[in-house]
Amino acid sequence: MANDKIMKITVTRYRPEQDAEPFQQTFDVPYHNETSVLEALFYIKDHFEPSLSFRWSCRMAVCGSCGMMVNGVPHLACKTFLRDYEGKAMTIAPLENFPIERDLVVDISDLIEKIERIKPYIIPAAKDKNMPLTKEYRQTPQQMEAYRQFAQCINCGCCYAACPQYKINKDYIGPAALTLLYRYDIDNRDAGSAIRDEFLSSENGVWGCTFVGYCSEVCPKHVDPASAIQLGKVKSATNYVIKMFKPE
Amino acid sequence: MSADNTFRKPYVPKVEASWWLKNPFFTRYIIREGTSLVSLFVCLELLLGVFCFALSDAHGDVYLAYVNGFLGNIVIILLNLVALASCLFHAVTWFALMPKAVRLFMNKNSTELLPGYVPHIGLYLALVGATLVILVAAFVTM
Repeated sequence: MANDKIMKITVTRYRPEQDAEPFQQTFDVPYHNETSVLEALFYIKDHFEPSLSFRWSCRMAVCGSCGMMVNGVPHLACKTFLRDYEGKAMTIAPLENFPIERDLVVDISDLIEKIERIKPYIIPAAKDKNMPLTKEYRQTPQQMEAYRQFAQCINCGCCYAACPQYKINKDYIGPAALTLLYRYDIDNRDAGSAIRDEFLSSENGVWGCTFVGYCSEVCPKHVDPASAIQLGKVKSATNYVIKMFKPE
Repeated sequence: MSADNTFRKPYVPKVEASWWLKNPFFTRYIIREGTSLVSLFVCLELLLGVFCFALSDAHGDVYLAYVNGFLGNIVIILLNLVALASCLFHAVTWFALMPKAVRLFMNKNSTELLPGYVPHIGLYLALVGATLVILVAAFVTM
């Protein structure tokens, strides 16, 4: 790595057993054209700080483990390259709006609980209840295209780190979970809309969103959560009007 | 695992009041939301006008005083210009977001979505149309 360029990388450290609060540590990391932020962190761990902790797994933007703040913007470390920051300094911090567990590791259990809460699976209609497992549900290409984009989420948490509403109200269900809720609601094989409406239409559901739109900006999988949430608002408002005329 | 042998101590950073200054995207968002304060001023101004108009029958020139004295004031004129600019800023940023709330397919069988620029341009046409209607109505009744 003789001809490599050098980048100054400042990393947020936090060791719960000895630190009262996080602190910054700066390293000179050599890089070439293909070096990702994740590889730079490996370099720091191998050469300077063996105790540096961060989450990672697939190294190809599939697992959603390595979400972190790069120069204040939520990114997947594996999908962010040092070449794009040439001539600038780089700061790496844990994902915002989540409790910091250690160094760059955050506790995303709140996000996981919210995803579980909105029942992200197909709830069959009563008439399909006894459908044999060997029989398929029919779906047209358009019916699939309707939700396909919203099904690409990898639960990396970048949208939660980008969301000012989640920052000030941790009860807000948040971009990823609401997007998944909408994704199942509009799936023609699903009949769980009425069950999920409790979460969709609640104050901490779609109406907790003020359409900042930054979640869609930072989403590494181009899911566009802001779009799903606005469409969710249309659905929630429609449900409300229908209920006015058709009380149970 | 018992509580005795864990070093877990999750750190929750405080939310700073200046969080929206750290990222230009958030700053733009707060400015967009802040335009509502200027809109509030315009609403109160119009409301005052309605009250003055209602009072003019009994007290002759209350409405005229409102038009000449209040609306004619250079400070109020400047504030109204600021209100117009901020309203346009809100409209432009809001229109840019609106295509996200529209998701329609080109036809019954297509998997192709209606391009985002259709609702975007549509909103601008609606803005121009509404402005023309108001201006024409204002000049016709003058």
